[in-house]
Amino acid sequence: MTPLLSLSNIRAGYGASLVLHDLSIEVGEGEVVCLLGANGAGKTTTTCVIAGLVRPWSGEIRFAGESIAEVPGHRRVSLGIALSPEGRQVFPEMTVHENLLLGSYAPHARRDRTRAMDQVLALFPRLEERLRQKAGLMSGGEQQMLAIGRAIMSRPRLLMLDEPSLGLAPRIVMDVYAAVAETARAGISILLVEQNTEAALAVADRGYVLANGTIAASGSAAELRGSALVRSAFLGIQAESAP
Amino acid sequence: MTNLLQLLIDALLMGGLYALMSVGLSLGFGVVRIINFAHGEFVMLGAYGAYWALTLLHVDPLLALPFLIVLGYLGGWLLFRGVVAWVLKAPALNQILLTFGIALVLQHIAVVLWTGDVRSAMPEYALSTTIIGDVFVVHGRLIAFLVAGTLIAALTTWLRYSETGRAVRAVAQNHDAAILMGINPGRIYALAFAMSTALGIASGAIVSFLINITPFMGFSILLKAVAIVILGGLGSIAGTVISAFILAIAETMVAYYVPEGAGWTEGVAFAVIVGILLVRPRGIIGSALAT
Amino acid sequence: MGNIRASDLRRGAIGLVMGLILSTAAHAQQEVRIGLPVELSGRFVAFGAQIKRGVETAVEIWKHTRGDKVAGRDIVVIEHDTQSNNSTTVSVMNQLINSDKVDILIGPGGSDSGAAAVPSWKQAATHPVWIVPGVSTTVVEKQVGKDPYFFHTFPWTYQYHETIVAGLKQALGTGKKVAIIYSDGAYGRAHIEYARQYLKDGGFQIVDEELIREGAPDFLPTLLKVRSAHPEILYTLVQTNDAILLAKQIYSAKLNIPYLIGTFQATLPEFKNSLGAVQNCWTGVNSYIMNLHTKADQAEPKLFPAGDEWEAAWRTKYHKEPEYMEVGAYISTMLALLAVEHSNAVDRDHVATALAAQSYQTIMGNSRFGPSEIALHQAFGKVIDFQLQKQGDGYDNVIFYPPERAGGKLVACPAQ
Repeated sequence: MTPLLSLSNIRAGYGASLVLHDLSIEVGEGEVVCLLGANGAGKTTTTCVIAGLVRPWSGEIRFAGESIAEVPGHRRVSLGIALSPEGRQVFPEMTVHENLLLGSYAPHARRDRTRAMDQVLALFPRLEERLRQKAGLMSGGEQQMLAIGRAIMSRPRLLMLDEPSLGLAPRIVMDVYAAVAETARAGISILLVEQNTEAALAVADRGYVLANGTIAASGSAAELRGSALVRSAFLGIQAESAP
Repeated sequence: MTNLLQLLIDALLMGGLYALMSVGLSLGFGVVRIINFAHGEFVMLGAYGAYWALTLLHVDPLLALPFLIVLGYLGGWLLFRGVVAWVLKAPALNQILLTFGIALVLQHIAVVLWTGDVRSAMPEYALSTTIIGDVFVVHGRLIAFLVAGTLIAALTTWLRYSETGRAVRAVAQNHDAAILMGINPGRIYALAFAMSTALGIASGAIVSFLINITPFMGFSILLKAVAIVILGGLGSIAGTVISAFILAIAETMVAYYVPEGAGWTEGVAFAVIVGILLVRPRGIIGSALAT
Repeated sequence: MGNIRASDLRRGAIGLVMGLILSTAAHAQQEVRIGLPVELSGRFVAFGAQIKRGVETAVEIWKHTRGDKVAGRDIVVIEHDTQSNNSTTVSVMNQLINSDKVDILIGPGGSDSGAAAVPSWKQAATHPVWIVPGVSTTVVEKQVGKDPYFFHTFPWTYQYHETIVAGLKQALGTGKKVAIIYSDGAYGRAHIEYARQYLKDGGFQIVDEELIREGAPDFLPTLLKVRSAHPEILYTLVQTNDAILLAKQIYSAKLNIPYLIGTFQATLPEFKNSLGAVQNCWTGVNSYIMNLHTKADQAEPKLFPAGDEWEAAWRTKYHKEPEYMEVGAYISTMLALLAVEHSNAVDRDHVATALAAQSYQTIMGNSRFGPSEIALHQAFGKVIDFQLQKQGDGYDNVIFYPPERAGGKLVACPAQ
């Protein structure tokens, strides 16, 4: 069966520096896949390439069987690709409510807005409490929930989450991941990009390890969890990339 | 202290007009991040549009206003797509030079078409006044104030409650996140620029029946608008409106209370900017579109 | 026929050579070159256009009467637009004097232009004869001093105020309270000194003086200050654009000051056209008023015909009434051509001597030059006071001073 998302031999970077040398990953329909890596490995570059914020220098991207390399970023939402970006990137001067409304800006999502709003608020009751509050004034955890909720508002087939646990207290991380799991159960495919390997592997079906701009290892969550090889490779990579 | 009350009334009415003149500039900067130095020339073109509508077609400036707004919007859109869009990624200096160049071109086209002669478009209501107790209200100014207020209210309502308005605010607050929402930033830029032009034209149409019209009137208007926008915090509409009133009041007070103050009114704008920016560099409400 | 053809060829050849060689050409003996540094655009465009028209009409009538030449020389008129801009005025003057090498300068019209033009003229070692049918600012009078090549055919600032105040005194008596509004610029600042002087000497009480900025959009704060002083007379020293806006705002503010005094603004068509009913009861001064039925000059009845005849011809030709600077420029040009003819020379000494000696009866009065307060050659220094008064559908210039020209009385503005 064709995977929902497939990247083949992606080369991408910023300005003159190459970040991704040769990236190939896949996400299947209904899967939760995690992309692990240390700081600077290229995780955010990957999500930006998929979301259309960064143009790859070469390689293929296919979504639901079609190449989307020429589809501009703002049109990828209509295809069903949503991203909760690194650093949340909420609209700071707008309320929670307005942020969520913007999540369903795309026409296909607008039609389903009321139902989507109900679902998101049921998923994140904290957001319902803070509905009229300015997003910029909320805590990190609340903003993270908002970013995810906003992405869900766009009725995605593929939901990408870039470092959702970054800077959050463990208790909040649990709440966030519980919501991620519930979203997965509803049938949305998920690409989870994380430094926090434990949390990610707890909820994922499969995973990749990104190192030096390419995939260093991959396998089922169980395999990756238990693999001393992966652990040392990851830790080793971490040691290398440490200042 | 009748005079004081009169001065405040006059200043407030002027403030409304100043607000309309500056809001367009603020919108342009908040969204597109370009200070449009041709803004004063759009006001000038709006004034001429209203003048010719009155003298050639015998159409009142207020009736001509909707048409001029639409023309201004279309003109702004074309100008953005055709010219300004090319410097969006260029250094700020290039952007400034480009819009300044557009200003000069527009000014000279106006001189060629309409000569440097001074014009004056004054429908009846422009000069008549109503006396309330000890003070008088010039109808022309009151109407200008009401129209300005209506347009600004419409703009802020649109920004706050409509889908596209929300999209415009989103692009101003976080460009990349806006793309993730499915918003096409290029279209929004053109839209915001076109709206800022339309607002400039609208304020020109209204100011046409209050002051003299020449091809060179744009520059001093631009100076005031830039002063107001910097004072209010670049990109904040609420801040712009507030500082428009502050400037109008300050100018009027200086003109009245300072000996030979009428000679200093243009300098007030800059004195106020320097003063406030020394104290609070981010302006009064220093964030993007705080509506 | 043969003669005409030869001269045609000669004229054509000379024209070609003159056109090709610019700055160091030997001065062509067969031409008199008249240079016009005039405002053909910008805020003094009204004056420049009038001067140009006056000069062109004079040349046309000369050719019609005397033939194409004066003293055997072709008449060449060279005009350059000063754009009502001071630095452009300087370069225009330099061009006319040094490159075009004109024999006689006529123009400009606006005071600011005149002030800007003087230094270039003075700096030129042998500066040409300069006839100025405009420019009232005494800054120019002080700068030209007793230069024998400068001829002024328009009143100086103090000459306005002398006449205005005399007219007010005759109509209203002494002791009345006056508020003065003057503009921040060469014009206002030059006029205020004389206005003050003559008003004080005339026994008027100056209760307020307010400065306004040229080109400002809002005069209301100033008007409120004026109102607080309760003047009976408002004496304004402002130029056209400001005058129009000021008049409108005075009307809107319902200041109800009984006498509104202006200088030249009330003579200008823009003032009357833009203001409509607001122009009522404004006073002004003029160096030339129509329908004074002046007589033709005995020596030159074709060049200086009777007033009615000249005005009618002008009206027929241009479909409008003549303006004062058109008249002044017409007369100035005629005087210049006559001076060249009488002295049979174009060098400045001969022309200046001839100009200083002439005396003709023109539509503006006698053209003899005499000394003004500082300068040597002043003609047409007397002005006329008039008031715009409603007559039927329009507003007429009613002269109220001097008595020998008066056709009516000064009236107070109706209360609003």
